[in-house]
Amino acid sequence: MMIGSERSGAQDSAELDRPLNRAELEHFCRSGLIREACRDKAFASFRDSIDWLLWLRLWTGTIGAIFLLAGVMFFFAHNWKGLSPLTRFGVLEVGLVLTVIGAVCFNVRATVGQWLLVAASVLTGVLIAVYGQVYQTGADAFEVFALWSALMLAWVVMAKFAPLWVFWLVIVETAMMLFAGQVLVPDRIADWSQVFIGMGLVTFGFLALWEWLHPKERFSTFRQNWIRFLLLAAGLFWLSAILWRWMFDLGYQSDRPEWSRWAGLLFWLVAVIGGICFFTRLRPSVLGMSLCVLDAAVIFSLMVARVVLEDTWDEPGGWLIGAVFAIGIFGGATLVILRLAKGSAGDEETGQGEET
Amino acid sequence: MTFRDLQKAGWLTVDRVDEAREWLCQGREEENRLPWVARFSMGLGAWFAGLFAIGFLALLFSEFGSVGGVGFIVLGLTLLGSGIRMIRLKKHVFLDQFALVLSFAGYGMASIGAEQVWRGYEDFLGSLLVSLFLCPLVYGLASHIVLRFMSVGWTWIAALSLASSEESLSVLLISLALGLAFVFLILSGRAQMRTWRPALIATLLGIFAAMWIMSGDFFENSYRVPFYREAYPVIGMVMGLGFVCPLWWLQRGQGLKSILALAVFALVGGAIGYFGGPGVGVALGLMAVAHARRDYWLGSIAVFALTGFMILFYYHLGVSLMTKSLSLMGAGVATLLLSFLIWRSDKYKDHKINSAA
Repeated sequence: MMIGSERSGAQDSAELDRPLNRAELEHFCRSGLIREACRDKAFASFRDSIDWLLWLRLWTGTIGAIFLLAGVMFFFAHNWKGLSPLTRFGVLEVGLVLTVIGAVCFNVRATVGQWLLVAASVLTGVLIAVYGQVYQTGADAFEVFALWSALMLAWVVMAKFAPLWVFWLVIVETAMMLFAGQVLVPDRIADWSQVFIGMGLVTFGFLALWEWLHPKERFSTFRQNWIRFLLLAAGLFWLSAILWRWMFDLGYQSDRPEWSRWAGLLFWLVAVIGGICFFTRLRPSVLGMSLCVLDAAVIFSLMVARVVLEDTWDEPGGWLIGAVFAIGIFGGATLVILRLAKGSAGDEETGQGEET
Repeated sequence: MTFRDLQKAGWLTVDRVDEAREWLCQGREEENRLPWVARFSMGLGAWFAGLFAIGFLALLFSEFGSVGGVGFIVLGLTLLGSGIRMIRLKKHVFLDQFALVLSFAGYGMASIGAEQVWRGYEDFLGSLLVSLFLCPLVYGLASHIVLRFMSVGWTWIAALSLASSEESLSVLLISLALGLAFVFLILSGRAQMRTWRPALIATLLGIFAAMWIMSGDFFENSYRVPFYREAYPVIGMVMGLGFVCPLWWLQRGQGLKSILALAVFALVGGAIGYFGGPGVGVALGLMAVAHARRDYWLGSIAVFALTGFMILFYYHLGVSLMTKSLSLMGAGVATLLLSFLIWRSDKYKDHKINSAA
């Protein structure tokens, strides 16, 4: 395929209506496209259009909240002996109550209220950890995370806030991984391939849920592409991990059944092919489709390397075959990306990356 | 401010409006022609296949008896030249991919050859010299964005490898000083961004890599004293302040308030760098510059860098959890208070009303 594509009038129009960046203005001035007498005015106008207060507020708020919550977590992680159990619970519970009341006062759908619910959710986790620490409940780590995710579920549903939703998902998946590491695998109920299949399915299940919900007006706050890429990348990671472990014999147990690896391969193939079809036809997304294509390219290249170099790593022929295959695989991947991107040119994600 | 705003204000040169519009739309067209994910795929493929190609050539020539350092350099330059020539033809995706792999392997072989020629001197000195020689040539001859990025990236890899392996403070300082000067040159608008963007991104990644090496090593130095220990606070401060310079340049002529705000920002960046978080200072500076230039790519790089360096800084901070906790809570409350004050300020409210209108 030749590299090239046509330009549409709609894209041109959109291009003329988007805010210019400084590099473009500099080019206009340098090439004399802006009248010399107006250059200073153009730069002054550009400087005025930069929203510093909003930027400062956004970042001081975000960094401040992260600092504060991390500080609270470290405070209790320190296992401070001088603090009586009553004080520990008191501080945490007061903090929890205040954040929840604050969220209700500000409205749980307002930005401040939503971030306060995130804070409340973090404090809930710390409270559970401190409870286990004080009363030595002997609870396994997965139980703590499972309880945490259960307790914050109501806030997640109420707030309809994407970061809180993702945070909850991270806790759920952590609980699942800990459960697998502490119960399923040691008790030989399942092997890691089966666990990763489960993790992949859960993650792709949430991706499907997101794809179903976000077009609805009630869930418009979820219309943020980063959630899609996060979930897709996580889902592909879990399924790809089965193949990496298989290829490089990591943690291989000869007495465990082989079918789980084959099942992992099958699920991975379905995920990659399904992802390419879905993000090409149903929900055009160049980035989503590219993630699937690139994951496949990396896996296939590693597979070829593993097969070719297994016994002949000190012979040039194997390396040559590896190079030829890698060129073919990545060239093919680029070709697929270009072909599919051309079909959805003008889609919001095909831009220069700014929109994403 | 949009293109149409410029047009409405009558600031565009009257007989060249179409040319300006055409240039602006051309950027989108180029992106549609080769989206950044496709470029990323080609770059990743070049690294993958290039490593195989280097392995193949190195083994092949070791089988036929050593061809010597000069032989490897000649071979590398031939491969690189062929790659650049092939890329200039712009025929097909596979040919482009093949050309990138040839160029990558060419760089690798030339570096191996140079290492053999300069054997007995410092490790990686040969690679650095070859990279320094090839970088401007490749940048000038090949307009392919991936190849340009790769040529600058190689130079940074060689320079940082030399600095680390030889524990050479002077190499580290010269690299950082040149990197800072280059970043200032580009971000202050003295050079064409479309041409120099690959070099800028590679340089920023190189600077961040240097900051990463320093930040990681500095705190967990139980087994050795880092070679930059003495210079660490000064480097940190200079780097923190260095990224405020382009910001000052972009915001100059904005009045006393702007200068004061910039001075406070410089003080914060310099202090963060001085007290052990050079990467944090640099990332904050880049975030502000990216915002001042409305450059979302640079902004994203800066946010990723900030996240990584914050984690690194607190992870390696040699104080008790209690001190970490108190300092984090104190900094958190202070920044939240600042955020609240901005939110409450009249200027912010006026601004919101104007934006809504």
